[in-house]
Amino acid sequence: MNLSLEITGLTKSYVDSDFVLDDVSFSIPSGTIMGFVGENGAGKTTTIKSILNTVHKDSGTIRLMGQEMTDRDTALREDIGVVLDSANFPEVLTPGKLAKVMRGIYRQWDQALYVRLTDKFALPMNRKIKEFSRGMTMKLAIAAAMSHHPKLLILDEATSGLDPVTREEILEVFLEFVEDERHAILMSSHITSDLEKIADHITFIHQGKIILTAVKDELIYDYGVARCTREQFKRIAEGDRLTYRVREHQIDVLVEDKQGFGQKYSGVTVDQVSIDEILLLLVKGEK
Amino acid sequence: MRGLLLNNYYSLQNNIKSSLGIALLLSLVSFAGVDHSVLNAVIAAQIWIFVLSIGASLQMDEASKWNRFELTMPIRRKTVIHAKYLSFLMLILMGTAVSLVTLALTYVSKGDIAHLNLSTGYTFGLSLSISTLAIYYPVILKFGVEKSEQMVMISAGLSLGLRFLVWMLLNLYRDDVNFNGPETGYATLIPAVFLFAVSYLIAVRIHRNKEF
Repeated sequence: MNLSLEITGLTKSYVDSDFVLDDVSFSIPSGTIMGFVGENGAGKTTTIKSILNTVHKDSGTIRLMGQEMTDRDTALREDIGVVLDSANFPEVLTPGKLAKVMRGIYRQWDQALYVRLTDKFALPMNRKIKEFSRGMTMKLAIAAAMSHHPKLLILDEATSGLDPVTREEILEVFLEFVEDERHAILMSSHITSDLEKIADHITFIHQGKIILTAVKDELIYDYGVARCTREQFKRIAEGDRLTYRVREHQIDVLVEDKQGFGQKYSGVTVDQVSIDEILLLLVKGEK
Repeated sequence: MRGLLLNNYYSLQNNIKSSLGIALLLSLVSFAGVDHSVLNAVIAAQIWIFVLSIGASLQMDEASKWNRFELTMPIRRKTVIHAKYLSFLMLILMGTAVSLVTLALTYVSKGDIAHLNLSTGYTFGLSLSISTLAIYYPVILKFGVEKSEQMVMISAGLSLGLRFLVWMLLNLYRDDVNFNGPETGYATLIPAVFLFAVSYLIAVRIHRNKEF
């Protein structure tokens, strides 16, 4: 299996902060989309900054397309498309001027593809970015990120603050992108419904640590949340629960195999669980 | 590199237009029949005024987080600095080019400019611009652009201090050296250029260790 991204034992701390990225490890097979989920300040952006070398990691290994990336590896960065939480282009630029800038930086820049994508997103080529809405700036960032034929797309909150129609359009573009088996996407997002639609794997991060990485379909179809009374909860073996959360009238228990759990503990209702609820139980729950 | 230079130019474009307008207005002084000391001051100001526009461009880059984004592109950190310093030189060249308009207008109004000694204006403008940028940029790169305007003024003040120091040193050897004279001007250019080269190396080092 080819890995587009492989992170092993990544640690990163800041001098002026208590936050620590602690032994972060996960990988993205080519041809797949990895959803990267966590609450604000969990370490998603620091992980992405470490991957992109915009911050200096303390230790660990990050391999992009099988290769560790240093400042010198400019050819490797040709293969990486990046969309950060805002457009990140000077506001005085227009999409037309941005293309001229990008053409002078990326050897693989494909002007025809850029024009096609900006047309698809209905972006005016001669209007300044400062006059764009957030949706338009994010579409522009995505068009620019894809127009140099990257193999790996790294998206940090690329769909946040966008309306459902725009998000749908953008998600379609991402799905088309991974139709090529050599491509992959790392997508951090608060909007877990987007990840439920397109991700193949989900990685959960909390307080700088990876708490779970799983295949999305397993999370949706195999994982479940058991709604237990206190008496029912006492019967559950520790090994059969991932985390639990005590509520006012019940205890919610996150289980890995809802079918098996249902058979073993008859009388306990086990509901399908959303990514949001899994995150909530992992972050707020007890072991 | 070409893309970075182009981006720097686009970011500076509005300020360049303003600087160009002011510099061209200053050129009109040549028609007023003023003496060569005023013309020297005009030429120095025309060169230096373009340097003032750099702060707005850097603030724009920081506001859009372009500084972070450019590191994700296929360019090295030192190339980013290289492009910045080339853009600085481009600004100085623009100022110098516009000052030629003053010479042309003086020629038109007076007919003969061979007797005017305008080297003071050029050496003053160039040394002031070069050393202002040399001091300003590494500091801004290290500590951020929030105090950009103040830092330009402090850098300009320190650049004048450099000229004063050179003048004092020259006075140790000769008694007749004028602060505004061509000897001080040419002699100040040497440490200014040296400072610019050192500034580039320091900026590369700061950028290499900086986190975005």
